[in-house]
Order: sequence, then structure tokens, then C-alpha cells
Amino acid sequence: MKNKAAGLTSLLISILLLFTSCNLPKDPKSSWENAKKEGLRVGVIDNPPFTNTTSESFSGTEMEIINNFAASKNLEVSYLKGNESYLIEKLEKFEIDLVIGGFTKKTVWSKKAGVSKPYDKKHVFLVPKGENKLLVKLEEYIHQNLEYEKS
Amino acid sequence: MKNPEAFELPENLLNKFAKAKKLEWITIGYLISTIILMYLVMGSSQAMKTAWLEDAMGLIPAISFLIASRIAYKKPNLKFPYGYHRVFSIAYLAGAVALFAMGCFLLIDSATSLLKAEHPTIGTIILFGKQTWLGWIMILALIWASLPAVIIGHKKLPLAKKLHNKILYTDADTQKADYTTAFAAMLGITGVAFGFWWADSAAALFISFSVLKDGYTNLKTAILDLMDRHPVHVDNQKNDDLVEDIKAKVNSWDWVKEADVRFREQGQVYFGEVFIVPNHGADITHEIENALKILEDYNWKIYQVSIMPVKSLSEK
Repeated sequence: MKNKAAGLTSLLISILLLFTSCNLPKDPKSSWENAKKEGLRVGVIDNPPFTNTTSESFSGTEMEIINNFAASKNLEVSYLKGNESYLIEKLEKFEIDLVIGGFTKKTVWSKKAGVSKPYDKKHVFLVPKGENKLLVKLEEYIHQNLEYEKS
Repeated sequence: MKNPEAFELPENLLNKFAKAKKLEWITIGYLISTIILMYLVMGSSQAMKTAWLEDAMGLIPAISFLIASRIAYKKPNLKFPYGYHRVFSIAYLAGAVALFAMGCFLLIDSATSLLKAEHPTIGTIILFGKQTWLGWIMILALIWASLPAVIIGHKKLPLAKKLHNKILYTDADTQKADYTTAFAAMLGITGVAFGFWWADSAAALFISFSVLKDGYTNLKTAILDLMDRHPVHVDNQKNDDLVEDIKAKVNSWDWVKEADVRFREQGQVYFGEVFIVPNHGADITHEIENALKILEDYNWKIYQVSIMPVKSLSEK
């Protein structure tokens, strides 16, 4: 019995290792693949100092992070300005790939959107629900490039 | 009459009972570790949430067995003249109701999540300095939640049959089958990894059905026992032949013209009556005194018997 269990455990773990080496997880709605082909579509809510959409070219700390993230992965980026409910609805329909604008990890939108890990212990980005590959890519960038993770 | 203060179990089962208690303590420790681990990695996966609640429900039989075993062997007293044997049946009923209710809740919850097409969002976790997709960690947690359970379940099963204890039996039997639900959850997470969002809710639905099924079966058994049905074996729910054996034995005695018996379960043991039409000239009080001794030594499960001499057996 114990040998059987040990055998089964090692079998499961080796299958698991095989999986982790594959290109998994995938996105049910292929957000990441589409972003690579057609560019990352980012919804921006005006919320200085994270995002500032009053001038012609958007600016802000989160704009910088997303621009750098896109550059590191060779993605085109397009921005769409709007209010929260409008942009969240677009995110729910998978018409945009990210919503930014100083959301915190306790955001009220966590039922309608996927929440990334915080890039500074508090603030997060919103992704379409279940688009796990996109989320993993973004979190990899956060982990590898943002200061608080390293310290 | 058997000395009511006598311990319910015979010598050779006492150590089995002690072993069962030890295994239930181990079960509780193990389940708590599983529940904490699963909670930490569950994320927004419906399958993980369902499997987590299922594991949490697993604490109920273990705890109720341990509580009941402290009460069941108290001496009968003026307030409880038949003793406390039935506490096992009551604990079993309470556990069954809880399991059944949880099964209903999980079924509705999982079905809603499937109908609403909830896409589970699963991010990454930093473990030992390495960034890993949380889904893989969930599968590791599920391995911990299933395989040791199967081993513990297999150890408890033979004890439960020997002790004729339903809580212990159900507990062992569900744990032994725990790997099926863990496997379902693993398939759900793996499905999500491959981009099938519905795999998660579908796995959750499967687990809910299994909880509901267990809840229903236990509830039925618990109610039937409390309705004083003919005693049955704990494993296959078939009538225990012990009752018929006793009837045959009593009928074979010289002084007995004909006889009928009835028994009911009170937790681990049986209580019952024997109705005897004696032959003419039998020394009834003396014979009954003897018969009580024989019957109570016949099998430890026959805990208390009353013998009633009658003129004729009533038609049933």
C-alpha cells in the first residue's frame, strides 16, 4: 500500500514537472497571443500620480511600468481612456487586456476582473478573468523588475 | 442481567478501540495540515474551494467519534437507565446532516459558477525564490490532501468492521475514496492550465455530487438505525445473521417449545428481547437465568437481552 502510494506520488510529480516545462498555463481567450500579434490594449483610468490622462500623451508611474513591460516583451501598446465601469465592462468582454489606474489589492472589482499581484505591496493591475498566461507574464515582469520584490 | 457497569467491549477489542482512537487523532492532525495548506493555495479556483470544504467536513466524523467514545461507555444511571450507547448513533446522524447540507450548498455553488461561466484567475507565487504558477502548487497540495488519506482510511477500515462502529466505518470509507475527488480537482486545475476554464467548475461539480451522495447515504443509514431496524453489518448494510443465529439457538433448547427474538442497534451493540413459549414442566425462572448467561456470553454485540416467557407467540 505504502509503496503503491509512493509510486503514485512520484508519477504525479513527474507529470507535474513535465507540465511546468511546457508553455502552460494557456489563456482561454488567447489574450497573450493576441497581444503579441495585435498589441496590448490597455484601459486607463485617470488617477494621478499613477495615471494622468489630461495631457495629449498619457503619463504616470503605472504608465511607465506598462510601457516598460510591453517594451521588454516586444509588444505594441494602445491605450484607451475611460471611466471605471466602462473599462471594466470592456475587460469582461475581453475587448481590452489590462485596466490600470492605481487600483489596490482590495479593489471592489475583484469579482469582475482578475487581480495581479501588487507591484509595490499595495497597487495592482486588472486583467480579464481567467487569462492566466497574460497574468503570469505580467507577474513575471513585476517579480523580475520591480524594486520591492528584490529587496 | 449482565453487570451494567461492565465495559461494552471484550478484552480482545479494547486494543483495537484504542488504536482507532489514536488513528482518529492522527486524522485530525493530518486534516488540519491539509486544510491550512489548501486554504493558502486555493486562489479563485472553484474546484479547490470545493475540495477544501470537503476536507474540512472530514473533521466531523473524526471529532464526533472521539467525543462519542468518551461518552458511550459511561455507566447507566437513574437518568439514563439504558446507558449511553446510542450516543454513537446520534453523533452519526449529526455528521450525516452536516455532510448532506454541505453537499447541497456545494452543488448549488458549483453549478452557479459553471452557469455563470466563471473563468478562474490563477496567478503566480514565489516559492523558495522561484516564481511558479499557483496551479501547479495546488496540484501538489492535492497530492498531500489525498494519498496519506487513502493510507489512513485503509488502516481504519478493518478496525471499524470489528468494532461495529458506523462513524468509524464511514470515516474510513470516505477517506479511502478521497483520491477520486482529489484527482477530479487535479484534472480541473490541469484543464485550466490548458485553457479550458470550465474544467475547474466541472471538477467542482463532480466533487459536490460525491459529497452529496455520501451525505445522503449516511443520512439514510443514520435514520434507519434510529428507527430500530433489524441490525445490519456496517460495511454492506446486509442483515446481521447474529439475530437469526440466536433465534435458532434458543429454539434448539429442550425447555423451549418455540421462540422469537428481536434486536435493535444501540451504537456499537445490540439490545433486544427473546419471547419463549416454554414446554410444560420447565423450571422457568431457573432456565431463564441460565439462558441470559448463555446469550450474553454468545457474542459481545449482544449487550442486553430480556427474556419473556409467553403462552403463545403473537403473529407478526
